[in-house]
Amino acid sequence: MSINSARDAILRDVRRALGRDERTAPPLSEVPASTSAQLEQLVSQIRDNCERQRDQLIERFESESIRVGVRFYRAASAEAAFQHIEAVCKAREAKRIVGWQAQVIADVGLRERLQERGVEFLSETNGREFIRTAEAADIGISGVDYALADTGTLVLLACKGQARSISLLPPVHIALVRPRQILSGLSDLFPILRADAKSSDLSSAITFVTGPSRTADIELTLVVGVHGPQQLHVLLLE
Amino acid sequence: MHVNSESFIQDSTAAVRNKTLQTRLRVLTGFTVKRNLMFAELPDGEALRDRARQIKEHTIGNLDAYLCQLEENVVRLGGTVHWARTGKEARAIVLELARKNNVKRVVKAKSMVTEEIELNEALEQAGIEAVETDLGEYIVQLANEKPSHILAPAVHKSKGDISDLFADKLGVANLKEAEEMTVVARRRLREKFLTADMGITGANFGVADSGTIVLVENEGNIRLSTTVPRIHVALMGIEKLVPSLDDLAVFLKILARSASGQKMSSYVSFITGGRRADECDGAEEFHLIILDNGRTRLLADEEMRESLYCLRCGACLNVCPVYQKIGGHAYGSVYSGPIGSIITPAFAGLEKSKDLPFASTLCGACREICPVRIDIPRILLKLRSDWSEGKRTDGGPPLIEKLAIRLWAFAMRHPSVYQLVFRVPAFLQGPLLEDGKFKHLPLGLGGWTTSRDFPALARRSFRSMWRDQR
Repeated sequence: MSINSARDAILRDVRRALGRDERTAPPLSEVPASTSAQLEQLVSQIRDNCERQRDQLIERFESESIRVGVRFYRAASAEAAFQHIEAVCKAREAKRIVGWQAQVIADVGLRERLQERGVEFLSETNGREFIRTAEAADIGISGVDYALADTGTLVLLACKGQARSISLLPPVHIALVRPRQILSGLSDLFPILRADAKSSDLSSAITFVTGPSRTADIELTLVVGVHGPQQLHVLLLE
Repeated sequence: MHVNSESFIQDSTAAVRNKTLQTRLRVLTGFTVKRNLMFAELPDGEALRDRARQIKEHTIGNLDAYLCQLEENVVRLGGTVHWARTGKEARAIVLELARKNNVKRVVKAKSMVTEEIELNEALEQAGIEAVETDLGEYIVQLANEKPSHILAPAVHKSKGDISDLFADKLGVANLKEAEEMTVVARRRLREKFLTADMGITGANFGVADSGTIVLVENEGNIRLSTTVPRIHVALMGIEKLVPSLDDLAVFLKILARSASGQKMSSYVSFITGGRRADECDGAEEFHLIILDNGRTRLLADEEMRESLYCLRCGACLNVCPVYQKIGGHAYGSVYSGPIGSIITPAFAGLEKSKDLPFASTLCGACREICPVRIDIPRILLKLRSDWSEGKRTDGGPPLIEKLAIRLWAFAMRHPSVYQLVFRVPAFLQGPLLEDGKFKHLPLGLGGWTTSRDFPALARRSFRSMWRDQR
């Protein structure tokens, strides 16, 4: 049986089950797709709302993050941010760090300043070696693409310069967030994602991170830190 | 789908008597408490549930259109789509992919669909190591058992059980706390992730208009399974579709709350194709297997169709008084609890699972708690009726039961017969009563009284009392 005959059989069974002609063309979807102009307008509205509610969003984002076990820190300057990161590195005796190639990391001057203190800072390389590099790292430092205030969620889009391994393999993940990246929730996020995506396609992997990894599989006892990072630090760089 | 539900009566009886299991199952009420708190917090929780149901109804009602749209988008973004009518076809597709790519080791995320098609056994038989990576599934795999709950597969095991298991199978003894055991598991499984050739997951949702598979978890093993190995295979039942990301938002708002009382699970992964050419991690190849395996049968039956709306959140299991007493294994099926009782007969045949629809008090707690408002009691009653009337199945109740029901129906329709059958014995029952009740019914009706007393027949019928009143 060729692959296509399974496809044809399933579609035929579905159409038959729904009481339709087996060869009908699929009906149009329920809500007509919004035009590009409408989407832009919606996104513009969302951004305006977020701008107006900036302070409340920050408060909410902080309290929800702490609620899910995030170690939250508000840095008033790039200098304060660096010092906090340095403190985490010392506490973890970190020698090797993997990080995004991101503006916010450059703003803090992380790479150079860490190298000065004898801590290696590696961004991605070609090929599969990077996964091994991330595995051997003590800390992964990333920016975020967006953050959701109502659930304390970080939104990370995978792409060149933003490898997935960085926020996943090392036991500690530090995420740098700018206030303007904070949205109220999913209803804000999805229209923006649709509008932002290049040629209207999504990134290969979008990841929502809400707190450190956890499980309750053993007697429903909560254990923080399983396969993903055990510690999640969020630094709000104001 | 293979089931062991024929021994349900014996298995559930044994489960009720199993004191250890009873202690383990008590913790499940915690899930429901948290779920209720979380829903109370939502300003529009009920509206979201209604909307979620509406979306599922619409999507399932136009399923062919959305399946085609999903396929188109996945392929456009570099993924490959396979279609499998049966579990057998799905297994064959996975094995062929493994063979072509010289796959020796597979890491698996928790997926009901892969259990349903018994994929692990097929992989092992082909000489491929298939490692379960969800902690609960890992434990259950080490113990050579089946999972007993959708969310917490090892909930039937105590810390002591797991400690012994780790000592026996992993050579690490004297672990007492959950944290210590988790650390050991993390280390062992990290090694497996890094050396696996293929990662296999299910799919919580498929978003048709963007070609995206959505995976929800707390541990991080799904992220690892889709990031590290070269190949990612996702198996998805046809019913998992939603039309767009905006529709998905509705489900993301209620899924974690319903399942484990969290606002949002630790990780949600949106996978659209494999990695792009300039990325350095993520699977290079993405394969989606779209699976029927009996779902079109449910689709075709308008009374059963809403069971396809199920999100596999597990809330109905946690709240069911029967599940709380017998646990998941007694059902003998991958799908246990209330939802399992209605879909197992469709997937495996009613004659193999006839006791499941009857194992319910019809209290309706499941219907109340279901995020998409599936009317499970209605469907249970329908399945009971199908069984009793010998429809849609080769089996049926024994002839004597069928005869007895017909006689009873006859008696209820003919007043003179009714008088004879029910009034006359009322005069004669005296000697058979103990403490004014039947503790043991005679004439082969003893089954009724093994665990309950049967009330005595009234000395005067209501109708005769009523006649006197007027």
